[in-house]
Amino acid sequence: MKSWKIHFSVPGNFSSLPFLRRLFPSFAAGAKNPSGFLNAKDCFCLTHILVEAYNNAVVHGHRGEKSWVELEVTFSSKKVVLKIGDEGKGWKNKNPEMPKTVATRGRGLALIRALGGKIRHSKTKTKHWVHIDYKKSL
Amino acid sequence: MKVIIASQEKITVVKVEGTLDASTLSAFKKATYPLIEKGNSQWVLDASSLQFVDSMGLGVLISMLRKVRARPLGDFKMAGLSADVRSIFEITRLHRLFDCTPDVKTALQHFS
Repeated sequence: MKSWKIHFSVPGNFSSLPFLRRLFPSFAAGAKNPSGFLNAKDCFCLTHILVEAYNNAVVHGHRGEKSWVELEVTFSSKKVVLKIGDEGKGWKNKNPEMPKTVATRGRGLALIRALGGKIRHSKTKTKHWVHIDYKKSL
Repeated sequence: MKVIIASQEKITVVKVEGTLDASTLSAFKKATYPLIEKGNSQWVLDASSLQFVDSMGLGVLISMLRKVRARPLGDFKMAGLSADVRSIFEITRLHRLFDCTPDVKTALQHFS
């Protein structure tokens, strides 16, 4: 499989979530989609990782209703890389652990890690970028 | 997302169809929180048609659990979690916090 990528922007509010939840299932292999290349487990994990990363960008990283969140998804034979750009300052805690069970917040990034996402960060002049490497299951 | 509220004697059964995430949690709170404020303290979430829950949706469920458990005999039980949603509960260890039952009938029995 050759590497390829999609790059798009969505509004920085939660109205984009239904679209984002459908993104990876549209690449799922199955009887209705013989050219699909993601199995059910990868679809499940990647969808949750994307939603959590996007939620994080909206809650912590974007400024105002009119801003956009930039996303890039790169597919290759062994892995999928998500890149999400927001206008925030980034996070202090680079390796978040799962919070106590009674905590009502703070699970998003820990969930990304638990689902197999390896998180990296980078910054440009105007954006904070979160890179999430996900190794596909065989 | 669709929220259907049904009461079975003192127990409130709330069925959520579709998705409980950042885009739908305000509708869920709007349907349930006033009933908690009114005094309903025994709840079952019928999750048999719940297809997706994110960390913000989990946060609302935990918040609700904490509110009702603060009251005498109060609890918030999960019924009929799908395999996908259950796996999110297991990853986040919430299956230990909530009483997760296979169906609404069993959840109701757990209150007695």
